[in-house]
Amino acid sequence: MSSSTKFLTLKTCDDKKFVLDEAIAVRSQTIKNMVEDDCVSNVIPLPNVNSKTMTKVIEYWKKHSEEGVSKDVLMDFDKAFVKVHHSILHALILAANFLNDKEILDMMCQEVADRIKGKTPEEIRKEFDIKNDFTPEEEEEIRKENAWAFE
Amino acid sequence: MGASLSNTAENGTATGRTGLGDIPESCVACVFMYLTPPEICNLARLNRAFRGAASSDAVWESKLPSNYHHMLDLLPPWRYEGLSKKNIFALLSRPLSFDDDNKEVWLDRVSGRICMSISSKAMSITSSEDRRHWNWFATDESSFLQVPDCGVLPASLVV
Repeated sequence: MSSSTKFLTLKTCDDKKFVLDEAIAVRSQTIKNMVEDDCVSNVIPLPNVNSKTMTKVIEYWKKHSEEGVSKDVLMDFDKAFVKVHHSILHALILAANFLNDKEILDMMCQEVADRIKGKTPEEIRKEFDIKNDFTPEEEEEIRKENAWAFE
Repeated sequence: MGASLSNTAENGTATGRTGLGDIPESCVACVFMYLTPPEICNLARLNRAFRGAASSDAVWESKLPSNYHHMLDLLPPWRYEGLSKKNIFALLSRPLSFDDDNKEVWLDRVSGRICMSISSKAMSITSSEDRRHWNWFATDESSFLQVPDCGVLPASLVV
């Protein structure tokens, strides 16, 4: 590493601090914009991300920034990375959305899609703790407006 | 209701909620990029955020083929003007007749690809006008109502 390596300090919503090489941290478009606009003083607050989620994100960033890492190794890493409980999957989607990291966001969304495929709405609600917030009238309306897809 | 994992502090986000039902509509739309139209319509029944994303033009624009405008050209404008992209997909997933009702075109509901069916009448078939070899008869089994019955073909036509 050259002597000009700059470090950024990120502070999560639970007051944990992460010191990170700027070259890695700018994988987040949000942080990159802040750096480019010179908005970075000492600490970058991440009010929407907790330390547990940020640890996962940094783990991903570091692995994908390693020099000379092979595609196969990264593929295996990604496969293992997405095998998490849905609550962590959910937190990672929110974090990737806030940090504006399209790579992580796309990967997580694909994982959600894979877990959803072939399941009924009832099974999905149960598995992912999703509340049905429709009235019976609305449910009927939705059934009608989507009937064409199942003809 | 069983014990909910959502309230445990270790998983808590800034809002304290952790359910896929709470992710922003734009993220749900991102999930839908990896799903087929019937799967998306099925998910519209989950909750309001999913229903909203399941109607988004951005999602359905990605499911329509790039040249779907040519299919719309077969219809009078009042049939599709002001429709959302989702309703345009629904409209185009039903067969549209053209070329004197000798051809039909539609979108496959799962793949979103364009399908076409062509009546034998619209094909250029050797001797198709020759009643010694081809008879046309009416049937409900064909979407074109008439199908040819190929009689004995001269050996020279059998490939």
